[in-house]
Amino acid sequence: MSSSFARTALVVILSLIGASVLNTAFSSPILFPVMLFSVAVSLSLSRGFVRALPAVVMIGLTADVATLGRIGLSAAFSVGLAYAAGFFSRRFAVEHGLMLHVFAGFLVGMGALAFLFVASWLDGPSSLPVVPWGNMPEAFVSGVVSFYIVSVLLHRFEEWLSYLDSPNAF
Amino acid sequence: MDPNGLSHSKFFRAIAVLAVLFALAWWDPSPFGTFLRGTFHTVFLPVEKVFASVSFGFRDLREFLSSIGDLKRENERLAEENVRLTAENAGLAFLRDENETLRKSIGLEIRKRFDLLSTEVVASGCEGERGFVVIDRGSMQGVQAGMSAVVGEGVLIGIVDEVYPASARVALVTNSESALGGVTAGNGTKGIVRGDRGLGISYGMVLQSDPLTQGDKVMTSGAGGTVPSGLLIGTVSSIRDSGDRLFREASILSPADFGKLRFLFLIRKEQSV
Repeated sequence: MSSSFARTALVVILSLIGASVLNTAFSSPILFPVMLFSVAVSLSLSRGFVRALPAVVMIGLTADVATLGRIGLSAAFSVGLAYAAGFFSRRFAVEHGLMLHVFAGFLVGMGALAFLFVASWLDGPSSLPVVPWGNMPEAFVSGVVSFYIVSVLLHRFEEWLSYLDSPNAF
Repeated sequence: MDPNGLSHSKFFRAIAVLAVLFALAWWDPSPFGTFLRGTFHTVFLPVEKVFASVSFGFRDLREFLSSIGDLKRENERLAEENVRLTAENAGLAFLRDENETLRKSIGLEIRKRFDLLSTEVVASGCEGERGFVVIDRGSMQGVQAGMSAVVGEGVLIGIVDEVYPASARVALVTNSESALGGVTAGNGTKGIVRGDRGLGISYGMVLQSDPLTQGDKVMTSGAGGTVPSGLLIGTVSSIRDSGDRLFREASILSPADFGKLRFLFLIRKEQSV
């Protein structure tokens, strides 16, 4: 019960951080998608795609609601990246260490760029969407950094949740 | 379980969920979205206020720290400019007094012309071409859809498009979906003001025969009745022919920084002058 509440609170807090902190304090539109997709990829790599799927969908939908975007778009990208992370990490045998962070950061960064492109395409019938090539280095670096931070924090969070779920808690 | 079967099951599960989510995003159901956004931003408004306040503080600190290196150069430049401006100031004093008198007599002061409601930004979304902000006033404070949001001395920022009980969503004029009537101050050239990919503002549908020059100020025309006339949108920065060469279009530079919005004023109604 308490772990479910903690998970739900985490989902809401992540979305609020996106809408009221990252989108407000920084002018870059890429930071929040990068953080969101880092969470999705990290969950998929640590718990497996099937177990992570409900959480990934829920986080994506809540983020869409909080950040005033099209409902379903962030969630769809999160699910796609979560699946791709599991699939490619096994194919390329990059399931541990530095290579995992570089691989996941690349995936997250490129996913964020693709997300911005598709969002532009869905919203801009009057003109061709802009491919944000200039943001590629920023996307890659922020992807690697964000994935590292998020995966460490999520790991700690899961440890804390398993303590909450244990019979000795409280 | 067969590993291939598991793998295929995962693949089809991913495809099925993706199809549903992309269909939802494509459809973009407005009442459903409004309800969800309204509920979320009403329930979590207090938390959003705290987060936004912290992030504005952080942004100010970051800007202050990044400006320290430029302070010496800026100080020297300002000292020189101060000498020049002191000389200019004497000449301008007379014109300023005259201008002030004229402004007051025609009621251009924003606070005198409109009944304003002050609001603070608590969240923003910058996904793709759509620019939105969430403000901390809603239907309980009398906010209605269609109200104009301004900053400073009447610079139009956007229009309220969704209203929740304690908050509201403002679609910025840079939003690709926004369009309103504009007119240039002085020569009265009419056109349509549109958001340009969430990054800027364009001024289109201007007749080839109408005068339009760089530096012209574009104001709201009041056409349609939703947005009051005479609100500043920005200054014409570059002019080009439209794709079909039937019209001219221009880029508009707004004096407001859309990335740093914090306090906005909503126009409740126009005061009788």
